[in-house]
Amino acid sequence: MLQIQVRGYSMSEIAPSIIQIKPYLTQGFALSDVMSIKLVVPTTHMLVPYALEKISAGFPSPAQDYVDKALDMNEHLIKNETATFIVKVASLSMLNAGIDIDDELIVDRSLDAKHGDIVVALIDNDFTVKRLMIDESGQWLKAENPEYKNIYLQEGQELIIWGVVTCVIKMIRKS
Amino acid sequence: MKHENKVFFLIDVNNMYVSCERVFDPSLNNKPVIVLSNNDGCAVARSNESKSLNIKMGVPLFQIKDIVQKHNVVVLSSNYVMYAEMSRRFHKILGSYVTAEEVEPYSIDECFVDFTAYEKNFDLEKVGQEMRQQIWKWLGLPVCVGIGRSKTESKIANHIAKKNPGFNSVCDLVSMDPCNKEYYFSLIDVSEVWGVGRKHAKKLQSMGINTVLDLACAEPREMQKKFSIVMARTIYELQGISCIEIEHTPPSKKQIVASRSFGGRVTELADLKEAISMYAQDACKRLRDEKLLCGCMIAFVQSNPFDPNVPFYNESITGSFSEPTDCAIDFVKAATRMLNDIYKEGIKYKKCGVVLTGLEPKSGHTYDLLTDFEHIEKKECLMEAMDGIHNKFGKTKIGVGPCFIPNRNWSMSRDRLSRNPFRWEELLTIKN
Repeated sequence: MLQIQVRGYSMSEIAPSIIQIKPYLTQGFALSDVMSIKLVVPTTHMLVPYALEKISAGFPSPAQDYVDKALDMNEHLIKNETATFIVKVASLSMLNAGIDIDDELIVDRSLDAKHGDIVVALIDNDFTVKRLMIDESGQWLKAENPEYKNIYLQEGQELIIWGVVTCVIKMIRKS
Repeated sequence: MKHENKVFFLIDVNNMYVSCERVFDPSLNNKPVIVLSNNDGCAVARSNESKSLNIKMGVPLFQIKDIVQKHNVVVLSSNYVMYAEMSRRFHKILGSYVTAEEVEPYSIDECFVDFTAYEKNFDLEKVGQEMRQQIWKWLGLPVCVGIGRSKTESKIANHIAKKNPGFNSVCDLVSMDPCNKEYYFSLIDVSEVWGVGRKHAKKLQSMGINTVLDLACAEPREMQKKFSIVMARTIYELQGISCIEIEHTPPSKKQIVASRSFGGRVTELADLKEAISMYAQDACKRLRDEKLLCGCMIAFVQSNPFDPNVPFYNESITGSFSEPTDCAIDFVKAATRMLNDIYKEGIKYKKCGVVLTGLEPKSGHTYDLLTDFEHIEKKECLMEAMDGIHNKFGKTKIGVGPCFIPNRNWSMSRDRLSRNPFRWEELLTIKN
């Protein structure tokens, strides 16, 4: 596919390759109107367009006029790409917080964990996902499933916050 | 160009490969860990615990079997794809401190930052601590930061920060008292200086120059006569006069090497041909990425150099192309043909590979009068189609010959490979 950009630029800026489309240009464009010829390579990125304004029924204007931007899932879900990691859950301990087995969590390590955040944490060098609770006794981890125990730190145990969970990716239609 | 008031940071990840593994497998913390080279041959990264067991860099695994068993050393294959992604993020964080012109990713785990323009507005040591803490929090990687008036000095500062826990991983030579600086310089062996190789170190020692301080006190012009301009520059740099600038674009490549050792021993010519055709295609991919043409190719085969029972077999052959090329088919054809000449029956081969030399930029090449342009254009179309398929479906989906079919006799063994947490199929799993 060849895309031809037409602008009012002078002869000196025209690339030599333009000579090849001379016959086409003579049909209506002056040679000096062509700024550059670009090869358009189709890509596989899927973009989901959305309308900026609602279109009332029966309004004759074509929908394209309102489409300005495409949805980018990365931009929507990930605020800090450099510090973001994705992990998979293999535990039911957070079921009532909507986190099931095989769900994927988006974890942002750059965030400071605060009371009530769901975090990926390390206790004795083991990973766990729980709700971080901070009260007068200090920090503890709350399970969101009555069948699982909360984690209170024992003497000499250290709680390391690995990252703060910002999002759950849940595949609804199991394949 | 000499400058007296520059400020360079060198930020370096401690035991990079082991540290990366620990981010995703914290059970490795506080344990002796080593990471092996391709094919699980030699130790290429060691945790501090392994270093104190006296496991040396580059030692083959079979030579340290006893230590590994006795001390339960965790042995891992190298997971280069994962390390590369962590490295990208490491360099990206450092890039956020300055402009793109002021940062130089020096290697997978080292980065120079030219901070000259901001010196007056900041406490340098504080900035170093900030970098260290940010990389630790965001990525879980421990780093050391060296700060100096030249790149060479920042390297030494980094070394001081690593060896002396009192510095809390950041050593700022710019604001250090000169007496203290001399003291630390006098403790470090001259072979640790950036750019001083083992060979030069020997010659320096024979002249009575044993420590960094000795070298820093040497007379640059005299040393230039005895060594080269490079040595004089190193001395200026140690004196705090910057002679080596940040490099933005790495100098264009002189050669491309693609080789790997085999998982098992290979004896058959057909297997060797399959293997070398893959390395030829790997090399071709890198050549095309750099937009270069290759005029000359070397093919080589080797037996195991560590096997004391048989003599080491190491043969190579050079061939040149009638017209510089960047077409995978040319490389595979040439490599397999050259192999016929260096193959000897009865050898247990451990390694083979190709070296592309005689490289030149594709854009600058002048074709001679008799060039068959139609043929070149056809090949280019084919290669573009192949590149397109590789970009879309991965580089093993199409190739020349059967080399990308898995589990060939010569395939690499990486038995202890950790998962790659940056692939959907291999995400880090939280079990509790």
